[in-house]
Amino acid sequence: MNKFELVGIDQDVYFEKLKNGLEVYILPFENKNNYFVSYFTKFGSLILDFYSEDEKKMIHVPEGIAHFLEHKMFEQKDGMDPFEFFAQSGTSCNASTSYKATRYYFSGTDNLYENLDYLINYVNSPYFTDENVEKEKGIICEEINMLSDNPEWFAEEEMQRMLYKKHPFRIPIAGDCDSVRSITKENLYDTYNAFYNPNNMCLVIGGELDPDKIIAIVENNEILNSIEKRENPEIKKVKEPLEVYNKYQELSLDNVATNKLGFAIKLDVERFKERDRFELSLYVGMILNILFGSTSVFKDEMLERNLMNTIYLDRMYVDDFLIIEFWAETDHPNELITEINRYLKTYDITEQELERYKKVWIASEIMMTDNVSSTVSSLINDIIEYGEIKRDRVNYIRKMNYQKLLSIRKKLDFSNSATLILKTKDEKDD
Amino acid sequence: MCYNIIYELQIKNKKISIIKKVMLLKYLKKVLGSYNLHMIKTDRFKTITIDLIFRKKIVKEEITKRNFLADMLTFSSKNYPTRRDMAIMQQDLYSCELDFSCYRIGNYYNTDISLLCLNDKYTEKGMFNKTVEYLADIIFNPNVNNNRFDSTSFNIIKNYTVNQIEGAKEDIRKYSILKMLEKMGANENYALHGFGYLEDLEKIDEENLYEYYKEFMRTSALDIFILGDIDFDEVEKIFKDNFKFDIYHKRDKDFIITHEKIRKIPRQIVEDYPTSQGKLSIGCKIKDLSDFERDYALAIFNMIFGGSSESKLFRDVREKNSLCYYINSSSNKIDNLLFITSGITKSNFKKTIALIKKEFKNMQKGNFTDEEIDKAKTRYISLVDEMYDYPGQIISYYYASEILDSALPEERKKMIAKVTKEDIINVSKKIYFDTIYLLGGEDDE
Repeated sequence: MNKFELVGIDQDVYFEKLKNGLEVYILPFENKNNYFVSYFTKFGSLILDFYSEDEKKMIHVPEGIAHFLEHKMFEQKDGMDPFEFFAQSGTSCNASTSYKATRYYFSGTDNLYENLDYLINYVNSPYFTDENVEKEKGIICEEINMLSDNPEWFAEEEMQRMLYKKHPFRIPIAGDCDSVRSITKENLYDTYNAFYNPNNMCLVIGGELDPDKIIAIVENNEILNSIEKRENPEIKKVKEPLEVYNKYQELSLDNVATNKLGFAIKLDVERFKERDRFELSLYVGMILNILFGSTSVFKDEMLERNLMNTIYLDRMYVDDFLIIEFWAETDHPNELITEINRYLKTYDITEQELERYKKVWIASEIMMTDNVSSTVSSLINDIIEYGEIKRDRVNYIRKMNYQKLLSIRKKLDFSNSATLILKTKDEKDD
Repeated sequence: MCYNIIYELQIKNKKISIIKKVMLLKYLKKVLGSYNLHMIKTDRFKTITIDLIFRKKIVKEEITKRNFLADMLTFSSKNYPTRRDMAIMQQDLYSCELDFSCYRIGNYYNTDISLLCLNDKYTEKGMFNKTVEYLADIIFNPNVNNNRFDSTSFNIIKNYTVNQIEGAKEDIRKYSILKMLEKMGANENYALHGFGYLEDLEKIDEENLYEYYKEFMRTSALDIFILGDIDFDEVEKIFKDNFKFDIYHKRDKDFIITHEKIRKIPRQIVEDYPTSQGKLSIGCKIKDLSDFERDYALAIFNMIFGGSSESKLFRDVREKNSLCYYINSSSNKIDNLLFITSGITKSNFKKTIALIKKEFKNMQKGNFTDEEIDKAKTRYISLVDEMYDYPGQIISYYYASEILDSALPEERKKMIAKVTKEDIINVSKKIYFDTIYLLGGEDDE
């Protein structure tokens, strides 16, 4: 087992890679009652076409398959299911599917070692029958209906359809009811066998624990160790054009009660010539934080002019694009987008602001370690986005400098953007 | 600061012992005339949490104003006259997080202003002191000139509040509960909207809000909590120096809402709304619980009935019948209410209700196992233990003990073990379905 430190925040991480490829990260905390364990595969809703070993050809699986699979992993052949098992020790368990990963997790205060052993067992023991697959369809359709009734969720999905022409980001994570109804147990096994190999998976465990005992559980788990390492199957590549697919859209919906503005930018990573994507993301995040965060002058101006009520920003990598999203609650979305576009062409950042935010970011990193699940989740996010834990995060922040910020700023081109305006029904014709 | 305690539970016919760490928190309460200073010492966190909880009996017309005031106090102040000035100050205090929330507890309404900061050990000596001074400054020096709140800040918050009130409809699950509660008892405290009312918002101006600020400071009962690796004497001195009120508040204890009218047959209401899924909300009244039932047996009843993914409702309505994605019940011991919520296809309404009623009858008949009871108890104990990792939750327990005389965590863990099957059945017989409400959903045809 290797050990390293998360620099600047007093947190050790133990790391081991098993023969079959599974990566295990262990975070021992002091003075914590809770533990949080997440077992995940780097397989999410984006993968729908891949080479099947069994069929010896490229196959296509129905949209929403990753999410369906997540639901069905809770089905166990011998009586007791995960909910029941974990309930015995008062532990709560759940799972979630995103575009890029599927996670199975539990948190609690007791029985960590047995629970961990069980988690590994159940995620490695698929049990799909025609009957239990059929039964799930009603449940998942209700989940899709629930999400579609939420205007923010709808807007988020609509934005993906505007950004991409071909990329599977266009497709909702859960698929739609028709695609869900077409899923068979064969689809599930094909996908499971392709992407739930230990070589494509990680296990992250945080809490007050004994790392040696944890690794012993993992290394002695019979089911896990009987699985041989397999390389990931070939995945069909999509050539997504840089240009945003649909630049502007205004919609009015029945269940929208307040107007909203969504604004997303598709940045070409190549343009920055930065070898380090993590660092690039930090600088872009810093610029956006200074421009629109709590100390933003622009924000005060927009609030005073009643052009905005709240604003929220997010960023993520999609292949060779860095995507930035803005979401604002506003009574005047059309005016606000004009103002944002104007501001993005003319803004200034001072060195003093950069230094203040660096202090703030480091303080937040320290605060985060008071919470086991936040710390674990942050590391998982690193693994999914960058393929490794960014143990030097605090040093990266300390080293950020004004010259570099200015040079990245120069290359930031906000013009390749999509604007989505959502209005209440009665305001459509204003 | 902990010792071990052993709980014996019967699971799957075999007796198992759970060894639990019991955390000891050092707690000291000082009654400082106008407010109580509660100090909780623990070395479990790198942060210090300060929580000011102002409390007053709830009056519908005051909710919007009270929310507005809390927003105003945490938005700008005399010495930090814009939102940005405050944000910069907070960043200079090593990114301390100022937050507020307003919520009802039974017949009372709380304004909860909290501040989370890093312990001086991780920043600089004297930072905590500065942070408390900053918080006091916000509370005692609002952004007021000529007896009026600053208009710029006022207008921003007003716009924001309109957005919040109108936007509440977008959270359809919550909105459905709200509408159900209005059907249940339009003029009752439990049906009040925590986010406020547009018609009351219209009546607020810069001047009467300042009048209300003075009234707020005069008439609210106040509890102040400080939690972290702190020194009691030092903290007491810092607070005595910075938080000076000179009014004594009478402390009432009539938090709990009771129900006189009980329906023999529940009312059923279906209303249209432009959603694809029907949002089901069922409200039940609870009557005549003993203290023990309210504090313990009700929690166990709820966990078995609909409070977990192990529950009767989840197993039957979702897993067996595939009628929904979510279904759960939640109990409120202070309001004496129990809700059941789910999202269903409209045409399955009758079928779903029948299943829910069937499972409820099963609870009344005692059709649940000792194993289910033990799982629920174990979960309850685990939830109490989890609480020790969250400063806000620890404070909630001490606050509940202050206002409701309810037991502290370790005592609760012992008491929950005493709940019997009989207790749970008795609780179930004191729960009455009142309003069954379905909002929205597309018709099949």
